[in-house]
Amino acid sequence: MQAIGTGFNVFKNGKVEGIIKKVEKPKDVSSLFINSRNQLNKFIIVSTSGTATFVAPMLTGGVKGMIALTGAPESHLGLLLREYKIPSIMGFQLDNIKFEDIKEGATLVMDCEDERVGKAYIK
Amino acid sequence: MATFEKVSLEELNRFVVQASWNIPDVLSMRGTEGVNPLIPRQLYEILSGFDSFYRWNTFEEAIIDKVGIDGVAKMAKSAHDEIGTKINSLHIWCLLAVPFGTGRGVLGNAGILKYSDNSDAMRTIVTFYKVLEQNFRTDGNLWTAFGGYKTQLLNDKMLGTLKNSLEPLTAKTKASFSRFNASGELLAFFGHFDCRLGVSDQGPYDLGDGRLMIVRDHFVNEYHYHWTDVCEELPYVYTLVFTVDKSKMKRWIINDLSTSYPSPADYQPFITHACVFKRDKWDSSVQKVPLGTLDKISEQFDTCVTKLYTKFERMCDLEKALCGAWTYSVGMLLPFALRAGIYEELCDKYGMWNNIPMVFKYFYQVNDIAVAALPKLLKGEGWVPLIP
Repeated sequence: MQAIGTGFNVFKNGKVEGIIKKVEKPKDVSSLFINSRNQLNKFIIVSTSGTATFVAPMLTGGVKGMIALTGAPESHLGLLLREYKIPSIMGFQLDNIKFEDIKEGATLVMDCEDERVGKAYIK
Repeated sequence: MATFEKVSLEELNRFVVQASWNIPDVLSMRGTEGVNPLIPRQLYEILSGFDSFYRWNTFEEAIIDKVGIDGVAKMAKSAHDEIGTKINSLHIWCLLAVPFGTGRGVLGNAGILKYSDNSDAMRTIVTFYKVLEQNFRTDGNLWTAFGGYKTQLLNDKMLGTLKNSLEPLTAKTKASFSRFNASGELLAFFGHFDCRLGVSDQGPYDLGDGRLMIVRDHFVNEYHYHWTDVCEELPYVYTLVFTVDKSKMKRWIINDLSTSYPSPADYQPFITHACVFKRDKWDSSVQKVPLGTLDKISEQFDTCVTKLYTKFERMCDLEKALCGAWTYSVGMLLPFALRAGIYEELCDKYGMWNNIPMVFKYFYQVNDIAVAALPKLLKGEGWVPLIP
């Protein structure tokens, strides 16, 4: 597995595996919600933004996990991710890979076993 | 115009100094969240600084003129025996933080206004804030940090009423309650343009029987905003009252933003009892909501979130920035204006919703500085100098 970085774990959860989907603009979010609504629970969303309303349909749609490249567990999104019980890592620092090089459709493993530090790997 | 004693310049500057500590204390982690591609939060926060800095004193003096300083104090005390209102820690805190922070702080740093501007108006703003805060909090502290980060407001009679309303949760009702809590919180954030004005926690209240009680408001239909027309079938607010097993919690803190930070963060498994109330309008009576109806209401919440997302996607940046700024420049004073019976007058006679021309003059300039300036302020950098 390729380690892709670490961040702040929003809550302790264990390991979660899912299919990568990336969101950068509102259109990415709404398209995913409209076109893949019944499959959202298989996806781990990698978002450039750690803001709550931007990814709102992903929360109501019940995604499997969320990685945000900005933000912190104490932010609005962090609060909501805890309430929705969606395994999440925020303020995620990519290591040896750029956002644009992360391939959608690949399998991502989130390690949320630690109370504070979350890690992610691409299978 | 009613006369009232304003704080002195010396006392005003003491607030400036204290706020310079308090604002980073509550908001520093917010500075990490980055840009919201859907809603220009940093931009609208700074735009709201113009109206709050230059006009809030006028609105507040109109409120004082209507109900007197005693009336303002009475508003604050209403929090001791009422639930489901926006007379809460966050709204009161914002009355100080926004004109000083995003107003004087950011706009002053950017050279758009002078730090010496409007000092007499600042005395009104701090006086209004001080009267509210002193009559709102029950522990004599200025901010929650001074009292162990608790927001305990309700009197014994109200606490007893809420405690007696609690129902033990089954696995099914617990799942329903958790979903209702999450969906309602998301909608409340969304309807308030991604800010916390739509949610409010108070407590924790130690019931003395091994349970901590939290009282949580979700303002899911702030009908004074035009964009929440998609939520028109919902009541104004749902109030969730729930208890957690105290032995399972390391701590539960609630800061000045009426926001809970429990530890462990994943507290839902330890919820033991709950009940839900609603108000249809801001001044309607409080009614109990059966736990068996929560799933259906959660579906309504999700539908409203989807509709709001579509609505916001269609708005241009200017419209979103103005709407967001209104949640601050109008929304933060709204509960006090309504209570004083002066909201319509502030709209019609004072043009409360009509932003001052500086908002439009500097819109594109502010856009350039917003993303960089605000996180610095939230972390305590470049805090404002004293008022000369």
